[in-house]
Amino acid sequence: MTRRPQDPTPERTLQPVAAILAWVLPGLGHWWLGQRIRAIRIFAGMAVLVLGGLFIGGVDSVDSKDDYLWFYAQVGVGPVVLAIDAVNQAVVKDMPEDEQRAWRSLGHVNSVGTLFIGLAGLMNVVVILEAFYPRPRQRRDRRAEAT
Amino acid sequence: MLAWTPFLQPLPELVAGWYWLCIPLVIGVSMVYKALWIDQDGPWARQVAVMSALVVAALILVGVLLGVFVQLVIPILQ
Repeated sequence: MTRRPQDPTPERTLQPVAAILAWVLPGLGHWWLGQRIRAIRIFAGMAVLVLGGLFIGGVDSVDSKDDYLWFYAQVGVGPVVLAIDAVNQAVVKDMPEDEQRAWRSLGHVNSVGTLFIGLAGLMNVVVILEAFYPRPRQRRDRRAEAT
Repeated sequence: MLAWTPFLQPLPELVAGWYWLCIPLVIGVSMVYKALWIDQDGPWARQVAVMSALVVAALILVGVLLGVFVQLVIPILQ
């Protein structure tokens, strides 16, 4: 099938800078690609998940020592997760046992808090991949032309 | 109750009703998913609401089905 000369479909190109920016701050990669509204929406969704996880489980929701498999998923969110883990390891884990009780989350609280940030990390991996190899955005227009 | 510092310390006394937290979880996932999928000028908020409602409804349905299976079907099989 030959492509018409007036076809506005842009070629897909790899965008490594956008992918790195998307990991540094969720949404920043799409902002860099010029998709400002999409970037704000991604950031808002990530904020709901990460702040929700912290609100529920506290800083103990991110724990590279005790929840290391979940931590791998959470790292997808970016450096903010590394900072939260650093606070958890450096401050909370160094407290005496009786003081830790108010800071350590247990049971459902820990599970749900960890899940919120873990899902945020996995969703941001999708965002990073989309920023790395962005889809052409005229798909709907092309479909309309075809009919 | 001890003093609680939000976002640093875990939510105190969350034992019953923890499953309600699936609602903000589903909303957050829907916000990101629909941000990628919907055109920038598309009806994002409406799509997020619809997807969230559908996922929560599906979770309730799965919960009911599993409850029926555990409470009714398994005792019959034993």
